[in-house]
Amino acid sequence: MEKTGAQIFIDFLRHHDVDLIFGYPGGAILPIYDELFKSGIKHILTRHEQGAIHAAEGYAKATGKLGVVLATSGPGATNLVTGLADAKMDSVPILAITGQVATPLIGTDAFQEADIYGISIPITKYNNLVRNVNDLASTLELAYIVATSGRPGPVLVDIPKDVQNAKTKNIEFRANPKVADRFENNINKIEGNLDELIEVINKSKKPLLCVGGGAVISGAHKEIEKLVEIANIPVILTLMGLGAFPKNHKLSLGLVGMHGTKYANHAVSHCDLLISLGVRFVDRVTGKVSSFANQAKIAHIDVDIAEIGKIIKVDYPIVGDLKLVLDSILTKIEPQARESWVNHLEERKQKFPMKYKSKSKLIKPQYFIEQLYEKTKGDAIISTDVGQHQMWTAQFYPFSQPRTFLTSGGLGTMGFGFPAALGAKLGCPDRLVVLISGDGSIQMNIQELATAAMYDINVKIVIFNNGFLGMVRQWQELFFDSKFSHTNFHFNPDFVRLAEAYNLNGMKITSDSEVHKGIDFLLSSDKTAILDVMIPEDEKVYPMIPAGGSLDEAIDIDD
Amino acid sequence: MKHTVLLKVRNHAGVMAHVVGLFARRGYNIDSIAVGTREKPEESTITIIVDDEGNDQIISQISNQLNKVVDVLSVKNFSYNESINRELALILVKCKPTEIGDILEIINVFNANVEDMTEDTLLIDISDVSRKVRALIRTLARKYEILEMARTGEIALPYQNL
Repeated sequence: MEKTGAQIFIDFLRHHDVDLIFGYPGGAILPIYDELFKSGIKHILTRHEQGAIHAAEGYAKATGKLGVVLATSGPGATNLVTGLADAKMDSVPILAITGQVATPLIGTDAFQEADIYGISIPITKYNNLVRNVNDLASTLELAYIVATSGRPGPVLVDIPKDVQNAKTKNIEFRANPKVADRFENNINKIEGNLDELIEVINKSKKPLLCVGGGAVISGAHKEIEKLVEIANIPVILTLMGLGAFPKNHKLSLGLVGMHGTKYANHAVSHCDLLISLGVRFVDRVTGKVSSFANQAKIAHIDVDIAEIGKIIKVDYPIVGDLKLVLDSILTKIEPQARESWVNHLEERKQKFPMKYKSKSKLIKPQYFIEQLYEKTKGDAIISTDVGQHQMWTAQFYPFSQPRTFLTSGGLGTMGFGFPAALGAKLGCPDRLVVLISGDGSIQMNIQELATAAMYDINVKIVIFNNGFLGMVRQWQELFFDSKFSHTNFHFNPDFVRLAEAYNLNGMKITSDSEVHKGIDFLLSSDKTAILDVMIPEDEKVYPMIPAGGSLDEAIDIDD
Repeated sequence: MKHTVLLKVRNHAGVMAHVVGLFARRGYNIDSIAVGTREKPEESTITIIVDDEGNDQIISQISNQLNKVVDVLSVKNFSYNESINRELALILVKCKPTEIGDILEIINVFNANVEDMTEDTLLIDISDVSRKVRALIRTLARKYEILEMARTGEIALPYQNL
C-alpha cells in the first residue's frame, strides 16, 4: 500500500497514541494540515509558534508524555527556536515538525526558506531534514525514540512540502536498528560500582541527597522518600527537582543554590557525602565550584554519562535510570538514625528560617504565595515565568508532588509560563493550573489569551506587578549602584481590561487585606482569569548568593 | 597531550556540522580533522586530533558528548603513543634549476617524493607523522618559497599488540 508523507505523519501520531498537538499552519506545511483536518486528532491553534512549543512543553512536563508541535517553514520554524533551546536545557520530550520549501527550492533562498536543520543542531537532541519520502516513517520513529528515551529532549524533523505530498510504500515505523538500538538498549543498564556506593552511604555520618530534575523525569519520588525514611538522609532540591520530594517533609531542607535556604546551602558546605540524583551542577546551584561541597565526597547518579564529571569531580559515578538505581540501593541500605547530623540541620532550620518583611503598603508576594498554597491545599499545578516571581514561588510554595512545578529552569525563558500553563491544563484537565508570572514575563506571550478564550482553557493567572523587570532591577540595586537602566516599564496595560477584551475575567488587588478575596475570585472563575497583584517595586528575593560567590556567602534582608 | 578521537558515523549530509559544531560550542580545539568513507559507503570514519591541554577530563567529556550525537555510531579515543599516525602533504616549491639538487637531497632525507616538475617549480608529496611533515615544511621554507600547500591532517589507528 502507498501513502503520502502527510498521511504517514498522521499515522505516526496514531501509532504513538498522540491525541493532542499544538501548532500554527502555513504554506509549506499545508499537506500535513490537510490530512489533520479529517484525522480526529485534536490540534490547538495558538497565536504564535513560540506559544505552541511552550504549550507543548507544559503538556509534556505535566504529563510526562511527548509534546508535539507543528510549524511552517521559515519564520514559523525560527519561531520555535527558543522553545527548542528551552526543552533541550530542561530535558523535555518535544517533537517539532516543520514544513520546508519543496526540495528543488532548498538552497535557493526561496520564499519562507530557512535552514532550520542547521539552526536547530545545537538545540535539539536529534534533527533531520527528510529529503526522500521513503525515509520519512523510519526517521519519525527514530525521532520518537530519541526524544523519549534516556534523558529526554527535543527533536526536529523538517519535511519539505513535496515530500509531504509524495507517495511511498515505506510506511512501517521502524527506525534504523543500528542507530536506535544505542538508545533503546541502554534503558535498563546500570554502570558503575553500586556496592561501593551503598557501602559509602552506610558509612557516611553526614550524607546529603541533592535531588534534581532527573528525579522528576525518572519518576523516582517514591524511591527517594523510601531511601530518606530508611537512612535518615536530609534532602536539598534544585529548582528542577522541586516536587520530587515533599518540601514539608521534616528532612527536606528546601531549595539549594543562589536563592536557596541558608540551611540547605549550609548542609552542602558541611556534609561528608553529597549524593546527587539527576542534577547537572549548574552555576546557579554550585556558586563558586571550588568551594562547593568541599568537605564531601561526591556521588552522582545520572542517566546521561556526559553530565558526570562535567562540572564537579565525581568520586562515585553511577550511570543509569535513577528509579532503577535507587531500587537497587534500597535493597542494601542500612537503617540509621544519624541523629547528630539531622538535629544539627534542624537547629539551623530554626535559627535561619526563610523570612520576609511583612509590612508594606502594597502586597507581599511571599505572603500571597503562602495564602495561595493554603487555598489550593498545595494541590495545584503551578507554572511560572522567569524572574523574581519564579524564585518566590520556588521558595514559598511547598511543592509535594512531581510534575506540579512547571518552570523554565535551564534557559530561563520569559514567556514560557502562560503557554506552558495552557498545555498543562489540556494535558491534565482535572487539575487546577495556576500561572504565577510578572508584569514583564506575561507580556512576552500574552497573545495566547486568545487561545485560552477560543478553546475555553481555564487557567489562573497571577501577575506580580511592580512595573519593573524585578530581578534585573534587584541586580542593578545590589551590584550596579541602583542605576535602573531600562528596567522600568513606565507604561503597562490595564491587565483587567485586557482580560475583559478577550472575554476573560480580571481583577486588581493592591493590599494584603484583598489577597483572600483575590484568590477566591481567581479560583472560582469559570474561565481563565487574571489577578493583577500590585507588589512593591523594591521587594527582593532573599537570601541571595552573588553570582560566583560560595554558598556560605548569602546576602539576606537583615544584612 | 595529543589524542586521537576516531568516530564511526552515518554518512549523512549534516553529520560533519553536528560534530564540528559540538567542538566549537563547547570550546574544544581541533588540531586536525580528516574524513573518508568506510567499507560500506553509508558509513564514514572521522579522525580528529585534539590536544587535552593538560586537562585529563576533557577527552572523556568530548567522547561522552560525541556519543550523544545520533549519527555517531561509535567513538574511540587513544593517545599519541598508542597509535600509528599518518598525514599526507602536497607542497609546491618555487626553485631555480640550480637549486634542484639541494631540494632533492632534502626530499631524500625526509623520504618524500617528487610528483611534478616545471622549469621553476617542484611538487613534493610526503606521507608521515605530522611532526616529520612539519619538519620538512620548515626546512623547505627556510630557503625556498612555498607557493602552495595542502595537508590532510592526521589519520590514526591504535596498535593492536600493545
